[in-house]
Amino acid sequence: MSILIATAGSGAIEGGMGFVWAAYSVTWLFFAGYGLSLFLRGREEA
Amino acid sequence: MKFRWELAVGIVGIAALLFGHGMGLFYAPPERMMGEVGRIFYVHVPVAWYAMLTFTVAAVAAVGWLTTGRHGFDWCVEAATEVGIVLNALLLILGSLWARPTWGVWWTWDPRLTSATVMLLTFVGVMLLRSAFKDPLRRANRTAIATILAFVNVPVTYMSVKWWRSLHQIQSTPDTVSEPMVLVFRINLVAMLLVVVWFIAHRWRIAKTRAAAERPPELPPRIAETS
Repeated sequence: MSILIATAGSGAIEGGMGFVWAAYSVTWLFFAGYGLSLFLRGREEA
Repeated sequence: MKFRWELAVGIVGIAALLFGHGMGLFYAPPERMMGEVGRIFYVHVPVAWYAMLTFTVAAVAAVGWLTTGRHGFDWCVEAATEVGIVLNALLLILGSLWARPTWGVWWTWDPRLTSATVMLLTFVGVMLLRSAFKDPLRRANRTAIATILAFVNVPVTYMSVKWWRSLHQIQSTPDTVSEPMVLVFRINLVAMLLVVVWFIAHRWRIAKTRAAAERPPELPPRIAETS
């Protein structure tokens, strides 16, 4: 039985923190990039 | 340098987002079936909500411009559409990062993913159309009409997971997630809302400044009288 469970797995996804870090990082990258573009354009227009 | 209210909102929003993301990464429990990957929920869902909300704000402002002719509405259309495009593009990337470990693919032409892509492309089209007109009045009118037309797809995107058979789960709200996830979800929702308000307000001021620069300089009173 234990072999069967080990083979089939629990159905839950294991690991994947790399995807999580990538998602949070890309969010901050987008926000920082857009925030910077607003700051620069705001200074240009002023 | 003038202190603007939106800057204060932005600073609080960034601090709250740092805290919220910290909770999403280290405090929230792993999701029952998705495990650690479920933590993407705390960034993906707020971005999805606010992408659709900013496009809704743009559509309401477009109606406001067409009915009142007040320039503030036109600047709001420009600001909200641009911020919505940024959020929509981010949404698709986050969705792809979540799809790979859960569905096994980076991308699939699922109804939700397809309608979200159409949403992005149509609003990019609105901004391209806007940049094609030099005359401020024509530009504002055309943009408003295009924004309202593009908005038709926003409720379709929202409802796509219910209307069609979709790999994507149904819409997430604090009522559809388990108790330990609710607090972290709410913090991230509020934090991202503050950041989005800051973005829109700041972009609105840029649009206002540009509009002022576009206006022809006023003639001195004597010349104005004789001309």
